[in-house]
Amino acid sequence: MRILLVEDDPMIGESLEEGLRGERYAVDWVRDGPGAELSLASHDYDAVLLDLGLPRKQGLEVLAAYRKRGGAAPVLIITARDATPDRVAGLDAGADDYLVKPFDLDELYARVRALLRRGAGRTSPELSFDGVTLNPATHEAAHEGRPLSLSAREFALLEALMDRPGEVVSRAALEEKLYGWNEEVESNTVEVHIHSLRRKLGAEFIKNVRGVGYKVHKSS
Amino acid sequence: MRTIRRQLLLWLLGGMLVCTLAAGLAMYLKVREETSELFDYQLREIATSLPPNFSAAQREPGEQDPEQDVVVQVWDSAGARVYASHPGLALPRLRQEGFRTVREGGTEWRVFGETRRDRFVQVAQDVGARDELVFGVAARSLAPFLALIPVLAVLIGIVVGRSLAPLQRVARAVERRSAAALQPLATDGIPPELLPMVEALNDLLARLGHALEAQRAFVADAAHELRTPLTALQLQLQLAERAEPGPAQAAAFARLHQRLDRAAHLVAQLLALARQEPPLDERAREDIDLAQLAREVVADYDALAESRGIDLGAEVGSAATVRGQRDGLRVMLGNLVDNALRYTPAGGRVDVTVSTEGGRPLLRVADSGPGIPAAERERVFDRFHRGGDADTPGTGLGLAIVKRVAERHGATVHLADGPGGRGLEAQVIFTP
Repeated sequence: MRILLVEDDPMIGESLEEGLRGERYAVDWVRDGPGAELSLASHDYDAVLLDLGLPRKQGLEVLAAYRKRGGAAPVLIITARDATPDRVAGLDAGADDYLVKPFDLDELYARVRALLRRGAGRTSPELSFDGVTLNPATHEAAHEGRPLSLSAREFALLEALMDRPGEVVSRAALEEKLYGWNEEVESNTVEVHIHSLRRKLGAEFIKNVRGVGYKVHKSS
Repeated sequence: MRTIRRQLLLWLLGGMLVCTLAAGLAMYLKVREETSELFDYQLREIATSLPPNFSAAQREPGEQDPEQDVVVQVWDSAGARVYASHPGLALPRLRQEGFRTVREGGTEWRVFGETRRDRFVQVAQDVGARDELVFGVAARSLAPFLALIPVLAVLIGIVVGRSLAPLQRVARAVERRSAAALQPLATDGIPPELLPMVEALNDLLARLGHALEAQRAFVADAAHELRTPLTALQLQLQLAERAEPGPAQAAAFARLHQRLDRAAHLVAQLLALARQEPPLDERAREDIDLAQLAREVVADYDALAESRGIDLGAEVGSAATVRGQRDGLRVMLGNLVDNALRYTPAGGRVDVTVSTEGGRPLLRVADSGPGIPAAERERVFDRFHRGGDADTPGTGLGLAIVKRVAERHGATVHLADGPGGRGLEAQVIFTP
């Protein structure tokens, strides 16, 4: 899952980036309004964390412009402005949730998971498909009721595929979901992880659509 | 203390009473005098109206004298009494004509004697009875005055009450107020005498309101600004707690310290600003040698400058002394130097200069950093304003503190281009 973090304070940004990476999200961090607009225009994000007081262009303007363009990624506003009118303005400008500084990391993670869930149109906190269940909150996976041991990247890859079952996801899109800007992308990494997952789940679970990408597919 | 109401009532009622009684007394005396004259006139009339040949035999018919108490006696030229209206009463004959008051047989008499041809006519009246009549007449004339007293008293009470009502209205309006309600008092219906006081009160309320508003805004700003370092602190604390023991956790704790330092720095700056808020007390001022101050501050920041690879130095052109508060001025110059060091890249230079120009002591801090665009130079003094570069950590309070300290010392702060048009020069110009 790829997340755009828009935060002008270097210390908060640093900690959030580190924390979210620890949760196996691919994180892009920008520090001002124009940077956020550029990122939103050039990448598809699964969620956006948006600070409101930004240099050069205010967060609310960025959000309104993004929604006007048809941008659909769920947006969580993170701000020190806690007055009710500010919250109302934020939600009315197109935000999906609102978190007031200072906040707890666990609460942020939970809200991000809820946003990702709703962004994918799900209501259950667990992803489940053809005998495989993933719990993004606990990072636990199971196959036919047996616990499954997955690496962080494997988990993220499987989560991206199971988020839209039956839909083909390109290799590039998968790579985007795995790596933020500053992370080195190893060559053939997607193939390596797919291979490993097939060994654990059976060759039929993830299907390769040649020249297009991968999908999870009912084996029956 | 005596209330205005009591004072007014006391003087008005007392004055009214004294005046009414004095007027009544004067009236009484006047009526008595006039009535007395009237009785005298009557006596003379009676004497004059007696026929010259008046004697015992002739008693005027019809003249059943209304003044039965008038004693008429007539003597002939030989000195023998030829007539007495009250035979039992023998008043002595007056030796002269005219009015006399005589005492006879324990009674006072008013007597008028007159020689008519060969006879001496003497008419007398009992003074006691006469006084009774006089008193009756005078007392009747006093009645209206006495009736006036309660009427005036009620009138005075009403007028005093009504005149003081606006004062009480204002007092009640002030009394009802909570500490937070600072809207002005209504001025309509307030008499002109009271208006200056109510207006002065409103003026005070307005100034108090502004001060409170400023205070509230400062607290709100401060609380808001504290959230940022606290958020960074909280996030980093949680990351440090969860980090794998070893180098990763050590690095996380090192970052935690940075965030703690930043929060502590912000609190220190807020405190410094709050300390500079009240006006400077003359007793707190002392003579301060600016050159000495500059050397102290440069020494304070020497280590920081060295760690950043910046050449920091003091240049003293001429000795300059100002009256001021040492701590405040030190905080001010420290903030200017700190700012200069923050924004100047490694290898740069920061100079603190003390001089006197046109009799005015002058303190300058020049750096070789990127400077501030002229259009933005006014705004940087605002509280919590931060320069465009978000990467440079700062509280946004430094220059606000500088400005406040300068204002307290009657000095002005200007930002100008640095030497040679590069960098920034902050100038603090004191009054001579």
